[in-house]
Amino acid sequence: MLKIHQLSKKLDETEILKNISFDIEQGTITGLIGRNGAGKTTLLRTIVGILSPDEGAILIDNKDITIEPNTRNQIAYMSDTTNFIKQFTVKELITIYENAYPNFDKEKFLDALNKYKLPHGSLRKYSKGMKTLLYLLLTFSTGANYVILDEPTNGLDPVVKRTVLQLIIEYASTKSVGVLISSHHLVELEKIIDQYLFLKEGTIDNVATMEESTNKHFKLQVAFENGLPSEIEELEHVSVFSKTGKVAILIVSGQKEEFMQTLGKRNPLLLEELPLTLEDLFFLKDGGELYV
Amino acid sequence: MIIVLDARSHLPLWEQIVLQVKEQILRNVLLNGDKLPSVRELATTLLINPNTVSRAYQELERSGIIETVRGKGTFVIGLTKESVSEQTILKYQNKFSNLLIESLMEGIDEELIINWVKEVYSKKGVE
Repeated sequence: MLKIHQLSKKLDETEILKNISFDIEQGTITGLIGRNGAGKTTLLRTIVGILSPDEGAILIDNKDITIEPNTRNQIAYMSDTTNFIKQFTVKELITIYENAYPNFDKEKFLDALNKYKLPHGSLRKYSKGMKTLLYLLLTFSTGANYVILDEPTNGLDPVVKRTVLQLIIEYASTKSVGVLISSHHLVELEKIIDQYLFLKEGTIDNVATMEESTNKHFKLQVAFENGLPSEIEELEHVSVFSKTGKVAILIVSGQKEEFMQTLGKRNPLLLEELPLTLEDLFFLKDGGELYV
Repeated sequence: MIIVLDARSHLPLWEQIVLQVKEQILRNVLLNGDKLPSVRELATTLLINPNTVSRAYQELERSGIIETVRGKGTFVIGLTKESVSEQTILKYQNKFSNLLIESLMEGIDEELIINWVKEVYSKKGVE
């Protein structure tokens, strides 16, 4: 198990990460979500050791990776840019990865290059999709038990994106790799993850499975002759998602049956449950003011 | 076996898989002895978490519809037709009568309901 224990990190005197703890089991996929600037990349870079934590520890099977540096080759990282790999040739990259990761599976990596028709040699002729795929294959060929991916599907065409997601699912299921992925593509992320972490202002706001979340919250479409009654709107556990004329979409926390009965007594014109998505939860937790 | 997931459905993904496998068996698209894709295959085709597929398969296995043979794969063993227990009959009788009362109250007439029943049975491909 990869354990992140009470991790804090400052960059230029600004506290970016505050007391973060969570676990990742092998063979599971964890999604890391949050607004731009929430600290996702800093968190990932601290876990893999590019940045060192100010407080707290990263443990693999109870061994602190700063005290036992050879545990570090149990974690592989794919950054959100391909700047690192694009300065090398495929051959040079293999040498770099073989040196960093004693369990690097060169044979499998070369097979995969053939399978996905990625040319050997310089990466100058590589498209963005090819670079991403190469980077992902390098990362998974390390033999590391934990793989950290920073926005791996960003800017990819649908075909490459599908391949990337398939590779992630495949390595998690057959090689028992524990995968941590940051992403803003919530629709695709929602379907592949076991649990998600919601990072907000440097703290983990929530660690949950989708099922736990859909048991705690539900989404309703309602319509009332005179619009949504203000007593309902003002309830603390009710968030109004949108409101147009008679119709409103609500996200409600807590007991479903009870709330449905309360609404039912007010003779709604329409009362229908809608599926709750990861995107809904995102807005619920951090839908505040928009800033860029 | 083709599974089509509906993102707008209330049903969790694993339940959608369970229902579609059952439906395909009823319609004779899947026959006894047919092999189902492995968990990994189905997960990578549908781009969903492997544990979601496992959960669906476990549920189907628990209801005796499929069977996993170690090292060989997962196979359809069909719906048991002969030995419906009294308890099961009672369970569905209750479910149906509740549903019928509700729909009759809403003004859906008997004929329409009978048509639905016939429709499902004709799609099933059994006399």
